[in-house]
Amino acid sequence: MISWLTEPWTHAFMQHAFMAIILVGLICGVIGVFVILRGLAFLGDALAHAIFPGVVISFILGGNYLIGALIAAVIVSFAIGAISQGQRLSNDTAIGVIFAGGFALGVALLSTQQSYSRDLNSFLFGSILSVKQDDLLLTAAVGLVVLLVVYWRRREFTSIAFDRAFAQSLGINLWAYDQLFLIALAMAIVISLQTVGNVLVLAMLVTPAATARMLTNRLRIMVALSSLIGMASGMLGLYLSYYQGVPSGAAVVLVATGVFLVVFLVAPESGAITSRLRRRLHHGHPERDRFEDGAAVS
Amino acid sequence: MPSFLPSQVNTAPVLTTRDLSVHYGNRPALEGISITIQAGDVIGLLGPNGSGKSTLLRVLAGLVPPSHGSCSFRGRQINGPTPGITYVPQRAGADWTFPISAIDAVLLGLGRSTPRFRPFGGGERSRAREALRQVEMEQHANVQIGALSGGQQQRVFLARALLSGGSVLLLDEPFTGVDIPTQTLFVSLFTDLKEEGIAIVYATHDLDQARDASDKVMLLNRRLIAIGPPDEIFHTSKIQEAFGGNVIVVNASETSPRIVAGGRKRQ
Repeated sequence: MISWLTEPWTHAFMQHAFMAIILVGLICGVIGVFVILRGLAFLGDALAHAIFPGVVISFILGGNYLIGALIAAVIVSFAIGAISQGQRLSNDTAIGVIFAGGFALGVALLSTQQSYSRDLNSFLFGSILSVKQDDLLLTAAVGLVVLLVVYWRRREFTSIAFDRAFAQSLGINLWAYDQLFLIALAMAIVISLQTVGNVLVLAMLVTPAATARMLTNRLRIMVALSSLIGMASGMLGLYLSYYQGVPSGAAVVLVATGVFLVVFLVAPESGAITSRLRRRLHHGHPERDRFEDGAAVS
Repeated sequence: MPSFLPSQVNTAPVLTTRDLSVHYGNRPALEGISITIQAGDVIGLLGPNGSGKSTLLRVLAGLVPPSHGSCSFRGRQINGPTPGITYVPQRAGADWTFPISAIDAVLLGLGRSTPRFRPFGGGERSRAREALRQVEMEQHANVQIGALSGGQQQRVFLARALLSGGSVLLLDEPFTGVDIPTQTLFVSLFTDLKEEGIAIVYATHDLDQARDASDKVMLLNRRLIAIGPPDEIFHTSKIQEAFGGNVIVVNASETSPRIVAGGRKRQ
């Protein structure tokens, strides 16, 4: 058992992979809490796809993909804001338009490259085994910035997520905080691209946070649980990937989804099975709990 | 906090609007509103749906800029959210599934004076508890807000506003969907706050309740129909002008006429 656990760590590429997934689990776990509390899952997915052209352009130019992605994220979030300013189109319609358009632009740009199909594959599904030390440092640095921003402005983000109108009346600039949040979210997404890829990054943002929400009614505990679940799912998924040959991104997401399903069914208070069982134990059922002579137990 | 002498309480204007108009696109929401609100005023804002009650509160809170005219707080132009003016939005706008306890929700009222890098300390927590005690919710301090009843949620909203402080309290439909004990509590709290010199403006749909809880009522239907003490304002013609349709004022007794508004005209 011990050797089963330690064996993957003997390879440098696996050490890097483990550290990358732990960082991604932590960072996405924290910011993911605010993504689900504000109902921004669709925006998270859209942002991951819409920043694709930025990543591709920096890839083609040989620059840092993080910078390209961040520029794209800023443009995308402004564009979404501008389109949904008018009265006729809702926010999620604007997101839908920009998301599909941005992703198509990324695919078209990438198709000009000779290694199109291999590159597209690694963009979409990540290539965790190719994480280098430099990538790790960059991930850690950007992740630290994201965590600090969320911690520094946690009360504003909480106030906005709970009651926007009141937050605004306190003098909190909703537009500025929404932009700040989008940029932090984009940074979290970008540093996850290499590990889990474009398509599955949403799971790292949403699934651990959703699992944590099932387990607690306290924001602080939810943030802690969400990041723990994200990191643990990441590590377990990597073991699964290493020993069973499942693509790493898929393995990590499957483990996270499995944890969610278990919690969904048996969470102490809110689980689908546990809450039903609890109701049965605590409240009599006039038709079920009936003796043969017809007298009900109450 | 400066203490007000009783003689000063009802004489100092805190909020003034002059020829205030608000348009949403081409649609006018408010037109030509000029009012003066004194310290210690309790004003019930009445009008049908779409009459601009919420808009007026939002303008006074600095959330919506006027398209024309001006409004000022203690002589200074309101150009955005202003310290000293506390706004309590409609309950329906908040996310009641949010993982937060009543006391933590109240602490959000501290707003910009919140500590940045440390958790809330004993001083802040005891102030939040005091605000909860004022709305008789101290025993529910650690309950998740979603587990509270509608009336209790509205009390948490009011406690959050009390913690924010300020000399003007703007409430958007605080009595909607809340039980009678909560309504009674709010009315007595309004009286206490009035004595401290705090001006209260609240939107409501309940004419009887507005008469009982307010010094003045304001009838609004995009334009200002009337403002003044309830007894002077609650006349059939004015209510009819605000609400349209048939309005019946039933004199149940000399001192408390019942008002039925918004009935449809028979063809």
